Amino acid sequence: MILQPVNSSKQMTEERSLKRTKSMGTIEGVDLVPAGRKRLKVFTQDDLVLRDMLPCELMDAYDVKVTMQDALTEVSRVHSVPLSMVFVLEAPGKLFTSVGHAVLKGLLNPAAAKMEQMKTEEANLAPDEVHSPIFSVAAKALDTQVLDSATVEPIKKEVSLEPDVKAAMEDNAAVNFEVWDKRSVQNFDETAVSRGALKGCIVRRRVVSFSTPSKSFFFGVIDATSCEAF
Amino acid sequence: MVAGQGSPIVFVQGSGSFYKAMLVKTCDLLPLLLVVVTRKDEELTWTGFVEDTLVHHFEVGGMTDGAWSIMSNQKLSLETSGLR
Repeated sequence: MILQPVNSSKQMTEERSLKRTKSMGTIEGVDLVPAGRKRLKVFTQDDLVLRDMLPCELMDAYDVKVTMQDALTEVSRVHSVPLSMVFVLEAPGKLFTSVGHAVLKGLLNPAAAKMEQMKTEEANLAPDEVHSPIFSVAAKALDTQVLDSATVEPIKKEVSLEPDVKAAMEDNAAVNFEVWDKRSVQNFDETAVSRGALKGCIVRRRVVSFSTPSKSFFFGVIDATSCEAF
Repeated sequence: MVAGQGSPIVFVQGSGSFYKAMLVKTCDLLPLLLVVVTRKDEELTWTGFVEDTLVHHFEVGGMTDGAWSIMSNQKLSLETSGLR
């Protein structure tokens, strides 16, 4: 669009060019178009004539759509009114275009936007916060060299090295009552209940429950043969 | 306003008073996303926007030296259009 600042085919000095730019409202080279200015002057390609910037050039600078340019020009011509230059007071089209692209990019590809957000959040976290809370507790304990029982025991409880028996059994597998019986008897604290009192409570039924002041027990299967052991 | 699934997307361009007037008119259409493009000399005292960026026209590939405020209730990553 514009034009090397020359005068009589001679390149103007930078100082003189700047002076003329400010005094006459001209722009040159890669200068940007002053926002909100309705009238601007430019040099033509023959380097001799100074003229006003054409409205269509100004519309181009403000990213007014070609169809809208035609409409504005047509209204001005048909009604014999000056061309409305109100567009210089509005935001240029490229701003809206970029906003629209950003919105659609986020809405049409939410997974990518979510991933980008997670990356940003993770980058803002401290290194020890990225890992699980268990490791965070252990790391803090190691940092402070305080490995007392109060710190270690909760970690040992959460990080169990024993195999998970329940996970190894299928959901629909038959219940092994024998293991259940042995486990119930082994866990029974016989010191809490006297042998005589226990004998009095046992009846010849398949399922019996006991209650003691300290704890409650549920015996899966007890029959007469089991009672003989007491 | 852009038609689509869910809440509408509303772009508002203009002054603070214009934005507030539009908000009153669309009170029953709570927008999923709201973008306000306004002049840099506006007094921007509204709340609820996570994005409040002054964007120069040339930063998005434009040819003027003007700058406008892009305010949004969602995070936006503006890119140059590449058009000249």
